[in-house]
Amino acid sequence: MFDSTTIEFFHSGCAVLIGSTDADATPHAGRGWGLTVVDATAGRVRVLADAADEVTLANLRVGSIVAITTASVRTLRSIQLKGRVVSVEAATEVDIAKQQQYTKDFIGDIHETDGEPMEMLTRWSDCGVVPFVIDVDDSFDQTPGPSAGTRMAVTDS
Amino acid sequence: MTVDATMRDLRRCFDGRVPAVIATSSAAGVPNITYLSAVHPVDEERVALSNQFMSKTSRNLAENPHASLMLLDPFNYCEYRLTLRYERTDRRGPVFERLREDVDRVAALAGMRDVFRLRSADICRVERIELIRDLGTSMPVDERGHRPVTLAASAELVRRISRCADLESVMDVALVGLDELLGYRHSSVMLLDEVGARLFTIASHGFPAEGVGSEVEVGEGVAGAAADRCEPVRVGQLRQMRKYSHSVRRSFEASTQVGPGLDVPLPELGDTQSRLAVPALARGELAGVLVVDSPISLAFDDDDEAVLAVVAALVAQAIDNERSNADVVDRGTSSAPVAPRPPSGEETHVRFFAGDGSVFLDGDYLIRGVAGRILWSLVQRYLQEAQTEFTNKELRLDRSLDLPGFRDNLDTRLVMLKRRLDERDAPLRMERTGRGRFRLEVATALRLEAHD
Repeated sequence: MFDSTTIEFFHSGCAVLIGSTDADATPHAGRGWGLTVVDATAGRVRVLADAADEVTLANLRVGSIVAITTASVRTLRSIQLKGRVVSVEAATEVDIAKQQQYTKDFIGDIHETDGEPMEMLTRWSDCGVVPFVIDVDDSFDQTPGPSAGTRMAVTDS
Repeated sequence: MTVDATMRDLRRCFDGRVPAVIATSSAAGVPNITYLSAVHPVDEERVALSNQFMSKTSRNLAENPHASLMLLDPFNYCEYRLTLRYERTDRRGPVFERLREDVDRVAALAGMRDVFRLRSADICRVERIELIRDLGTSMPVDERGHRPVTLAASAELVRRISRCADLESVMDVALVGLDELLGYRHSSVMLLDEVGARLFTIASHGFPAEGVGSEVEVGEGVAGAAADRCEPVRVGQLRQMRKYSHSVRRSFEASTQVGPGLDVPLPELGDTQSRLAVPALARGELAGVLVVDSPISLAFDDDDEAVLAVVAALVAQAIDNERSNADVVDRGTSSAPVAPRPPSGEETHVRFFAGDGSVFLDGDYLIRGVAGRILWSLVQRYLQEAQTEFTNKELRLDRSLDLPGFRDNLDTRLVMLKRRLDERDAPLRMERTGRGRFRLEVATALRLEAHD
């Protein structure tokens, strides 16, 4: 489902946004702090949600549909994934290491491209994380422009 | 833990420096989350969301009115989540127009005014505002970077400008005065060309390169937008806008709706964050645009617009006076041929391309258009007739310059040409010798070459 270029993009310091809904289809916007492709062929990814975002965590019911948008801070290239929640788990040391590396890359990109002060970015990004796994059904090009929302072709990894 | 907040707390979140995030859902409960290019407050209870591309967000709102919006205050990094309920879509009216200004500015930066337009503004009621992230301390709030505008300083600048005898002095005194008296470190004046299609830089102050002669189309970029609308245009987050506009442009190019084209030239400061462009009008007509830049975000406000409008009006008046006195020539020296000074042993290769009037000196581009044709005419007369003293009036009668019969801008073109030659430290210089007259000074031998 994901080619190597797309995987590289997901594993870079791009912004991660989590869109979820409750049982009444009420949407909720949240931030993610890292995304890892677990199985490129099956389209399984592991996302780190903000541990303080109680609504997102409550919405991550197994089987529920979530939207994950990733966006490059440098180019604004953006991809939105939609898929079903497979599991919500406790953070492992690997997750914490991933969060640290991701945060360093993400706020480093913001600092370099937008000039925001590193001290503020570091404090802003300081949070606990809760990992969850989704199986991706669809991916969309979300880059600003006329093609935003276009379904992306499925590629062999 | 989240804390409720008010619309007043959000006032700095709408400047576009940090893009907003919106989550919506289909009626079936499939969520969608994306960045929004523009969000504006409508009143104390509503916000307007931009829609340029008939987005999924708009389609979702039509079938499920609930939305969740995240905003970040760029000054203190407080992050807010708004619970929204869609009310209506506006395709005209004051809210739509305000939002359209934001979108138009991005389109102007990317040279895409024809294709990148606001389609509609989705108006949503704000049901709840939560403060979801608070760093707890006061943040380093950006300084404006220039001293507060005072009436006394403004009056002194007006006095200085009013003492100037000619257009070139007005430009210099105005820009230097903006710096010395009011702290606007980086400024420029762009004038409208003869056909009202382009702006060209005639003077600048505080930039690494003076940029005299650089051009921009009316409607493109911040200065072009101010000229197009004859209204001040202010942006406070150019870096973010530039990034967004370039991304949109790439996307349009990929979809072949526009050609690759040229990016609109952006400021020469390198790290410009804020820009304010104020139209210079005289007798109700646009003469040009006064532009100030700052490396600090959100550096300019209404007071800056007001004082720059005064200075811009004085500059426009000076241009208008220069045009009105177009045929006035000081008595005194004659414009008869004068033997040129013996040039040095060096030679300067002057190439002229008639197609666009461009002139190159020793292979380096100098200038084009009317100013290029003026220079070509001057050097021809210099070589053929040994003429070094010229009057504006005789140039105005020179058909090779292809000047329009009315409001020809000759005087401002001469100022621009003189400044361009000075800026390039060229072996050809123009020295003003009186009202409506000047001398061509040539330091080397010249070799002329003309192309169609």
